[in-house]
Amino acid sequence: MIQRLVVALFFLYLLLPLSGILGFTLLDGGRLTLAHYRQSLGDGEFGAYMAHSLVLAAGTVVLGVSLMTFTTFWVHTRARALKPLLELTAFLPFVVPAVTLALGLIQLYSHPPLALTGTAALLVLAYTVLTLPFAYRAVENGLAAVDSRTLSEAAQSLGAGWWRRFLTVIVPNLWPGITSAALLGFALVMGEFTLALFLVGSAYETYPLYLNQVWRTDPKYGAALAVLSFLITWASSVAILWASRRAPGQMQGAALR
Amino acid sequence: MAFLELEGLCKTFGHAAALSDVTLSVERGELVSLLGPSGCGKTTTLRIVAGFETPDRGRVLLDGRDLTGVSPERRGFGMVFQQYSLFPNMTAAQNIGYGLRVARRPSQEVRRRVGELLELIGLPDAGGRYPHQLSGGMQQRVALARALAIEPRILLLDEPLSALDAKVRVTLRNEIRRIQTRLGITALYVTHDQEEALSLSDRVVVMSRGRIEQVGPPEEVYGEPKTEFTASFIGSMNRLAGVVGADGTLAYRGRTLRLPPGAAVPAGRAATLVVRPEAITLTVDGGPPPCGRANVLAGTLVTRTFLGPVVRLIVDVEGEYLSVDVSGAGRRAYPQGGRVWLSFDPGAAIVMGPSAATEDGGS
Amino acid sequence: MNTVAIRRPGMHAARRGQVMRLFGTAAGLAPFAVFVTLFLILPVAQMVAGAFASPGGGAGLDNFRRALAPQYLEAFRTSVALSVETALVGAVAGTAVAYAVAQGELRHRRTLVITFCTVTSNFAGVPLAFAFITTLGVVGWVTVAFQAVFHVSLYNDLGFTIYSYLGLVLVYTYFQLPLMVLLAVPACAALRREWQEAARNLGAGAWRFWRDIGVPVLAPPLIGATALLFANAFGAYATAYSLSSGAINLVPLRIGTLINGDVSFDAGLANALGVGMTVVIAAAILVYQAANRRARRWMR
Repeated sequence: MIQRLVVALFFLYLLLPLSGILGFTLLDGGRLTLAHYRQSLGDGEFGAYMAHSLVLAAGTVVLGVSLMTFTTFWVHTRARALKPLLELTAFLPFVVPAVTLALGLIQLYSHPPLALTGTAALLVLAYTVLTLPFAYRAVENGLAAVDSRTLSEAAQSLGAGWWRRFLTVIVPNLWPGITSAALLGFALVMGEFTLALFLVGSAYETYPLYLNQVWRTDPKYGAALAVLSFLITWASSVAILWASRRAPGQMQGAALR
Repeated sequence: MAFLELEGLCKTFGHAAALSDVTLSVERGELVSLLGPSGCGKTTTLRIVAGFETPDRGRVLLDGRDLTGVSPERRGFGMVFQQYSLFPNMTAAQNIGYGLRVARRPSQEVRRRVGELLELIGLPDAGGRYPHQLSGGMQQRVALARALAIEPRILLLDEPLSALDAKVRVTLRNEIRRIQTRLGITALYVTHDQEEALSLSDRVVVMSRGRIEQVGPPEEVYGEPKTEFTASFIGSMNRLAGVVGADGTLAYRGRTLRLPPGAAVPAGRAATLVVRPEAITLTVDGGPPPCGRANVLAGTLVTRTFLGPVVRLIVDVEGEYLSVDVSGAGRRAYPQGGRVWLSFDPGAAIVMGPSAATEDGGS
Repeated sequence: MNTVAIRRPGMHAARRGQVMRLFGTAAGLAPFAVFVTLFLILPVAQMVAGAFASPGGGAGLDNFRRALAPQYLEAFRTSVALSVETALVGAVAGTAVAYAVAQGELRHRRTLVITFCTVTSNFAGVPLAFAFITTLGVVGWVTVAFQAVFHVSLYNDLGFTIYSYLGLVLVYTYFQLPLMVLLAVPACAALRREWQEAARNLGAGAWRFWRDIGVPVLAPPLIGATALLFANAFGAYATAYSLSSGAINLVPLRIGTLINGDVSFDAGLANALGVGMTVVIAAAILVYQAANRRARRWMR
């Protein structure tokens, strides 16, 4: 009985703020309206900044997932002794919160030879750093689950070279893990605020930056965009669960805070 | 009155009946095993005795005292589980001594008992090790010692060996039997492994679908199965299904087979003659059929499997495959496709009543 | 026999092959190594080096001396307090929920709760702040409803505001709770029924079981999870940024002001604060790692 009560209160607490923002955006003077959501359709800025975020997400996912998949499998097959080092490195981003990463990157890359601040490229690279831990986890779990070594050796005994083994045997078998890592990366980029604020700001405004900006002038519209953000997160999370059929790397949200 | 009595235990989980009318008595110092396939109710029976489950009907009596309503921690029964039951945060010695510490025995006594028990299970130096530092077999030894430490009135073992590899399983089961007889402890042993049950029990209880099929000493349940289920579950069996004729013989695939003496099956009824592979004698063809009182069948050799002490031959008899065990010594050649005679003494076979089950002859 | 005599041409080839293989292995690792060096190691190194650099050139502790000023010490105190409090609240409530779905009465709702937690643990940052403002802000519906039902204003009579420390506690708890549930469910599920039954057989009641086995076994993973929650809250920026409007003195916000403002720009001081922050988080992560190692040893 007490257990049920605790779980009910837990659900209540987590649903309450959502009820607030839904009510705020859907009700106007006591009437139900979708006007604040419809507003986004005619908003050119919204489209542009959403496109920015989608480009960043695509870049991050492709870069992060391919880098991690390739490197992890390489270490697995050719440099097993380096596995602990890889694991440690892939874990490091946990220790470096977004503000401090931004702090270091700004000082390094705001002047030649690498004047990258304000470019989408730097943001993609920084986001890729944030994806390392769970991309590594996903690939590593996948490699462990399919017994990559045996698979790879089996393919080798049939005469397949390294690249052929990697692309035709390993990658297809890692697909569920890769998919969930990609979705995690996508959700992360679509909601990330801190690095975008410090590294590019208005030079390449992203969707989270835009909704924060809108909120100050038009709270109802800003809140509607926030609900949209929740929907993107929700859809990605459900897709991740569906793709991996288990709880994914839970740390992803850390980057959003 | 027996030491432990189970009276008409019934239990249902949801809609499925897990136990129906299980009645059993166990004498003091006896090791009785509950044998059957998974889902037959053996574990449920054990858990009812332990007090972890409450029967819907029936009761458990210990020394004449009704245990209904007595919680597991007050029953004083030691239990050994399938695996991973050792407390992971305690060393082997702490695990073994736990029950004594709960009972507030003086620490000196606890230490002495733990030492004795580590000695008894053959791990005198493992006391300081944590469960994760012990092999599966060692863990089960410690679990046994832990259950014995409280000097339980009954020792309950729930498939204690099923998670171990074959070799350890055999050593440990002999060990369990040795310790049980030496301490004269009453034990209830759940297993799905017939070899295990037959080798270490005083009596075997064969269970199927929540019911007791047969209770008896190992030799009896093996040699004189009372039901089709027991016959097929314990050891390999050949089933020769036919119809009983007016002269009291069985018509089997165009052959006439004599029934064991004393078998009373009315003429015209279907019946099955059950005979163990080792009860059949095999003669390689080349002469006349063996004569005498034996039942004789002709067949063709299909395969031969070397099993160590015996060689199992599969023989095609009129389209039905029968198993025959011959001695593995002597290196006799058994040519595949060769004609052979099979013969067995009617007295070595058992008659089962009419049955719809017409599974293949081997196990 | 002299050494020259045993050198055969094959040896050279073999050694060259070995070198080539080593070179090949290194080549495959190069992209990752270069990437991590440029965008993870160097930024951190830059921060550390910058923190130990003196404004006048050379190394020194000037930046750290300035970081020990009262307002920055206060920022660390507030950040630690906020992180500890929300981690503890999240840990206690999250464990209760996790136990209910892993072992208790709501086992059949496990998938539902885990799905729900996976989604809500990712609700954070700016949108979450907005959600709380629209719920518990001055005109948020809970505020309004509270006034209507109890005739007491949360804001005017009780002095509450969502833009306060307490407001931050509420919002941080929002993302801590589901994260804790996700971390604690596997830990609770790993408590084996056999342990409880074995303990009961040996005469131990429920209380005794929890004291001797349940709590000691659950402690490492739960302490580890709590440490992770702490780190999670300590590094959070976006949520605090959109809720506090500078009114609350937190380390990440201080760093943000120092590197983003034109007037207040002070990279040296920001670096020193960043090093302090990284040390705190690293300590929490080390606790998490150590506790997890211990937990993994037991849970098989």
